[in-house]
Amino acid sequence: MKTAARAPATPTPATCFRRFLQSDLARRCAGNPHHSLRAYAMHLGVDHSTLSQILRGKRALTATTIEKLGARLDLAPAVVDAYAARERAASLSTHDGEGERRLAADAASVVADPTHSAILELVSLAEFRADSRWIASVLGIDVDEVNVALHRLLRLGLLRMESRERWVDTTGDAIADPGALTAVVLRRLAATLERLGAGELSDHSAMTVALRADRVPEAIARIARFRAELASLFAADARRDDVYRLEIHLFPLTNLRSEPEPADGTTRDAVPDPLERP
Amino acid sequence: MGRPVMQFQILSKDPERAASFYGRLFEWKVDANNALGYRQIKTGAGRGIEGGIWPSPPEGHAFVQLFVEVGDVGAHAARAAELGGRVVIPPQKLPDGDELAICADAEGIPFGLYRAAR
Repeated sequence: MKTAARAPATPTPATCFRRFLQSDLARRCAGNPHHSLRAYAMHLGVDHSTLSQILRGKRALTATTIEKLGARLDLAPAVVDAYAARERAASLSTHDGEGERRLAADAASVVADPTHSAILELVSLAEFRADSRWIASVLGIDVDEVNVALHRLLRLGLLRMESRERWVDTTGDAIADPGALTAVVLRRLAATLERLGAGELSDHSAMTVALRADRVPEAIARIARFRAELASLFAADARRDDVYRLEIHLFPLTNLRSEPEPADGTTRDAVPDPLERP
Repeated sequence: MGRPVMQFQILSKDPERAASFYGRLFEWKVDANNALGYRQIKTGAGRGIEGGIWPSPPEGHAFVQLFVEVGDVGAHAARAAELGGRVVIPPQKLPDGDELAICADAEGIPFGLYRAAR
C-alpha cells in the first residue's frame, strides 16, 4: 500500500508540459506581435493543427512528443524527463481510476461473499474438477455466479489456472480464517495497485476495520471535516495548475444489520420496484 | 503470421438476456456446453469472427471486448505493459486448453490475448 512518496530523482515540474507550452507561446507572442501559433508550430517542427490540439488538451502528449518538443525548445534532458514522468503519472491517475475502483470493489466482494472462499476451498480437494458447472452444482449456485467470482479471484491474483485440470489457490491457508483472508485480499489489492503504476502524484489506501455501528455517524462527520480541511488547504493557493479527485468510501462489508424479512411470509423482492417496467 | 482478431466477447450483467436478444435478432446460435459454461456464439455466417458472452459483475459495466490471437500470450502481455497498457488478468490456462490473458491499452480499453489449445 502506498503511504509515503519517495523523493523523485528530478524535481517534479510545477506545471504540466501543455501548460508550459501555452506559457511559452504567450510569452513569445507578447514579445513579438508577429509571432503566432503557426510560427510557434514551425519552430517546434509540428503541424499547427496538431499543436493547436495539444494546447487545447484535445491530443495526449506522449513521452516521445515531449522529448521532441523539449529538444526544439533547448530544455535540459532532466527537465524533459521530469515533464514526461509527470504526464505519465497524470495519465495513470485518470485512466486507471476506473480499474482501481473495480479492483477495490472486487476485493470488497471477495471479503464479503463466501462464494469466493468456497471456490478456493474446492480447488484444494482431490475431487476438484476445473469446471464452472461442477463448481456451481457443488455450491448450489448459478454458473454465472461462479464465473463472476472466478473473474474476481483471477483479477486479484488469488487464483491461478495452471493447466486444463489444475487450478491453484494462491492464498495459502488463509481461507481457513476469514480475518487472514481479508488481510491477504488487501495485500493483493495493494500489490496490484502498485503494479498498475500508481505514481508519485497519487495515493491509494484502504483498510478494513471492525467497529461499533453507532459510531458511523461520527466517522461520517469526521470525513466531512477532513474534506473541508483539504479544500481549505488547496484553496489557499492563488495559482493552481492541476485537478485531482479524492474519493472516500465507508460502507459495511456484512449484512449483520440488515432488516429481517416481513413476518407475513412475503419477501422484500416481492415488493415491486417503481422504476422497473412491467 | 500476423495477429488476427479471433473473437468478440460481450460482457453482460444479464448474459441470458443478451444471449436471447442477439439470438433472436441475428439468429445466432449460443452454446454453453463447455467446462466454463461459456456462452459461445456461432454466427453461422461462415465469415467474420465468432463471439461469446461472459457475465459482468454487478459493480462492473456491460461492454464488448476483442480477443487477438498471439503465439506467446505471456510475452504479449508483458509487451502491452511496456507500451503503457496494463495486465488485468495474467495468462491463464483454461479448462479447454486455450491460454488467455486480459490486458488494457494505454486508454484503459480492455482486450484479450489468446492462444488456442494445441
